Amino acid sequence: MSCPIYDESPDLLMDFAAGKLDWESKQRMDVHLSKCAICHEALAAQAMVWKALDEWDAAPVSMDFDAKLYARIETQHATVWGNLKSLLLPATTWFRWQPAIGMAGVGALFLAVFLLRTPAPADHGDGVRMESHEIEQAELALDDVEMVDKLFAESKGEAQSL
Amino acid sequence: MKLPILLIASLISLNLMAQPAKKAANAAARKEAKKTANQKVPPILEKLRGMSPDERQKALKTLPPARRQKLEARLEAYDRMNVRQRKNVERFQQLPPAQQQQVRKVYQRFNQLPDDRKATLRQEVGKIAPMGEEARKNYFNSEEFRGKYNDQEQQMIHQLADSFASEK
Repeated sequence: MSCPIYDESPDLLMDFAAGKLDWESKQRMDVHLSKCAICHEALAAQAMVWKALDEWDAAPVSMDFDAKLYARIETQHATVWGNLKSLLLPATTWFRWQPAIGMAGVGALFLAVFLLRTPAPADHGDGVRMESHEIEQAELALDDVEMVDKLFAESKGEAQSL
Repeated sequence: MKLPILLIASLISLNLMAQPAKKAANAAARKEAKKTANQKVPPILEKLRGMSPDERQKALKTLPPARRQKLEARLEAYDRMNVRQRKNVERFQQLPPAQQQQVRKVYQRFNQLPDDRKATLRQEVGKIAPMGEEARKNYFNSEEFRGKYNDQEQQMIHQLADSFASEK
């Protein structure tokens, strides 16, 4: 027997689990299940689902369930339509949009100030503070100065100890 | 309806107010860029040299005392350089970074030479660098030059003279 999962006929497996197969088919399936781990696992999973469904106790439905459900649907429908109407109809929206426009205005002002402001000069405290990387840069520049000086010193005394 | 008009008006006035400040900032940036382009000495050294002793002390106050003293001494020595020495530093500063790096490498090899060879090479570079390009080429190909220096020395002189040549 070929594998019902690979053959895309899982109904066969479901029927086996439900005990709906005839004797001959059941025998063949038994033989297949003893060899096919995938079908074995699928069958075990199916059995678990059925077991869980068997054990589940649904809460009793009240007599006026349907009436309550339809009333709720009606209320929600009315609310959604009401919101849409207030958004779409200009006569009533102006009043509702006023706070939003105010907020947008404030936001636009902040944005404008942020975009148009001139960058403040960097704060150097007393105006002479140097970052450590600047000092290192100065030392490296002096290394170069010293190197060039030593390369071109005309006399022994000219190359200065930098 | 007043609110949007008010908003537009404030935005326009803000923009107008920002224009002169923007122009001033742009002008300052252009001036700074021009200054940097014309600068022939390392800007960081110029910054330090432009400071009063008091300011320099404040600027370097975060350094350990020994390092600070050494740096100050080196800056003073830099201040004392004559025109010719400054000219050489300027030439080096004007080289592209890759060529500057090449000079640094040559200097490392140069430093390993005996003192008498260093002096000879210095003299030779000093003699060749002011030559015109054609004359320099001819000299490098001459028997006189080839006979006086070994391959390594020839290469060093060649690279240094080319880098610091008055005429390229």
